Amino acid sequence: MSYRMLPLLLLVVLACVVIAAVQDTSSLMSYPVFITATAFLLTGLAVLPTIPWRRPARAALPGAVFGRTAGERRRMVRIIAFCAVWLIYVALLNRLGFVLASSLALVASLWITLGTLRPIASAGAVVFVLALAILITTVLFVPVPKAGVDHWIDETIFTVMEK
Amino acid sequence: MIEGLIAALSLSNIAAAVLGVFLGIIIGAIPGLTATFGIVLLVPVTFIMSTDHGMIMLVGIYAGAIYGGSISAILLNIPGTPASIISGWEGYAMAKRGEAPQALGISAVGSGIGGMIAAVALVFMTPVLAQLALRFGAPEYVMLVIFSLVVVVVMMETPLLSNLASVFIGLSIAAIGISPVDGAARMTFGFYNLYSGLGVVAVLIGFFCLPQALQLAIEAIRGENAVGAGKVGASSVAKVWKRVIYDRWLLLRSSTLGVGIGVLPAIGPESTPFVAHSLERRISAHPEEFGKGSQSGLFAAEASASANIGGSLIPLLSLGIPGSAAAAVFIGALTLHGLQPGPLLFTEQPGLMYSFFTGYFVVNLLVVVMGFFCSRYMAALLRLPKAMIAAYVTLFSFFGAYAVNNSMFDIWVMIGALVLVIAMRAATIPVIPSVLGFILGGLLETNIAIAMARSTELSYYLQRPIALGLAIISVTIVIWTIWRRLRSGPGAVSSTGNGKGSLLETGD
Repeated sequence: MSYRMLPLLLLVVLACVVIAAVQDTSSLMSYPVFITATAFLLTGLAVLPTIPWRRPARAALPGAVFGRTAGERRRMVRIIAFCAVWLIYVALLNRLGFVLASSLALVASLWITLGTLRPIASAGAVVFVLALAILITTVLFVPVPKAGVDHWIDETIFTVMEK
Repeated sequence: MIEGLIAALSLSNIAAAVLGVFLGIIIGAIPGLTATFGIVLLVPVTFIMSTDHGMIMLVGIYAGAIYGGSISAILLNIPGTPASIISGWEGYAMAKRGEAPQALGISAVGSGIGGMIAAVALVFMTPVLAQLALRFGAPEYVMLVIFSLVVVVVMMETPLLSNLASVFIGLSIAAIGISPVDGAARMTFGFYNLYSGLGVVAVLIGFFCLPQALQLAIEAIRGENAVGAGKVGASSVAKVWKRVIYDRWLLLRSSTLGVGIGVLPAIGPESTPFVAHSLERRISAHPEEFGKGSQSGLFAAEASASANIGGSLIPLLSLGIPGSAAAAVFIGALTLHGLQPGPLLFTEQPGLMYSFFTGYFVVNLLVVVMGFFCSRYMAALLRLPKAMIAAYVTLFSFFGAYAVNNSMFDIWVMIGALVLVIAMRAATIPVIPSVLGFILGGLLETNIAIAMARSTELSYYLQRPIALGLAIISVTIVIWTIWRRLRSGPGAVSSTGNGKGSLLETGD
């Protein structure tokens, strides 16, 4: 999606919220209808004059990362890959468990951002996730999604503590 | 009183305070883990301690976490807790100028002094301030929230229309969920997870931590990997204390304001720095420095947030009314230890109370000492490559969003908040007014409903001097700001948060 379409997306989302508020409340004079309608109206007034209806020069885009050269395209792919890694992480967290999913996501995102797979950084990431998992589950008792590796760690810690 | 004082200064109590502050600083510095979360996590640990040790450790976690939140805010522009948003604004600008150790020192001292002033208020003014809190009814709350929102709207140098739109976007987000009036579900789009509203922590991580992590990742991928946002070293004690003397009245004003707002139930330390920062900017001789790495601005934010904690303990201990979410958890911890917060606590357990008050003073002293001592090591974060910071902060953001309610849905809420921030930035709408609108939205709606149920007559509101006073001040501020901006002309918008620059920077 083009960067200049984002303000319009914001307006569309706010319009949906206003419609939902009208549908879900008994009166048009209710608090949520007033608040959401005002948000939509004010955002529209603030945003519409600033939207460049003609396509702007690429260099004018704030934080422009959407370049055309081969190098810029490669960087763009890496940024998308970084975002994709964490979206896949959310999707797989329940299936793989905290330790495996977090280790893989951390190693993959380090690989993408550093540009190369560095063994020490990757090993450090795995050790860090393991230590974090042990701390939060056995000392602080914070439940995290668990699967094979997590259960094995729990059982090992339990066995060690029993002895 | 003397017995309590001696007990608080025992080695075991000081050890409990050190442990609490240390754990609090670590918890606060991790994005997504708030002071409330820290207290909840460590309440079970206090069962192996005596009551006074446990209370002092918990209040140490509370104060330490509020200070700890400022560390990641200053060094990485990632507020560890919602109370450190303004600290990130000023502190990160200082860090980028190469003044990270100075910013960390100011943050520690400001936080400590604010807390110590609150401790003095706790000892001597608890009965008076508790009575003041009881005078706040629904109309006063409505006007106080409106006053806070007006302050943040005029504080931002972005166009007033954008700021106002941002506030209403925040209020709209806060209105999602079950209505506090009739119990009907609103704007939930069929998701039952939205019945209880959007999680504050998940939304704030999406607003502040994740955009900054993504920004760091983009910069690392572009090849700007070295952070290099300043030198690494210890804070200069002499320089910081020189600044304390220069800003002594500012510190007193901000701390007093923090205590005053903290006394009011349901208003936590999240919104206080906005009000204190804006007030100091108005009366400062150098208002143009605020928002661009002002040491005075950082002092105001830190002192007020820390003093707010002490203030919130006043209605908690004297009336049994929590002044913030963390204070509500604190009440639970006291009850689990067999204590019933309220007026009888002072007559039945005077020694314990004075031990706690002194312990709270010691806790804040420790924040100063540990803040100074640790700043050298904390600032070493700046030596890490951006790629590593981005990856680890992203992991902590996902973990923080999940851990508060053990809910995968909160992770999607966080991602949704990130998309909203990107769209708002693209529309040159600042994010900070939305944050305050979101935090205070529930309180505003509930109290509007209560006030309207009591009376819709204007005379009812005219007879309430506090509400009337706040209304007059709010209107005056709005008129003065509009007049000032019209006089300055449309081109007089400062570089602070004018929507230009990075797509993901939220340091409005």
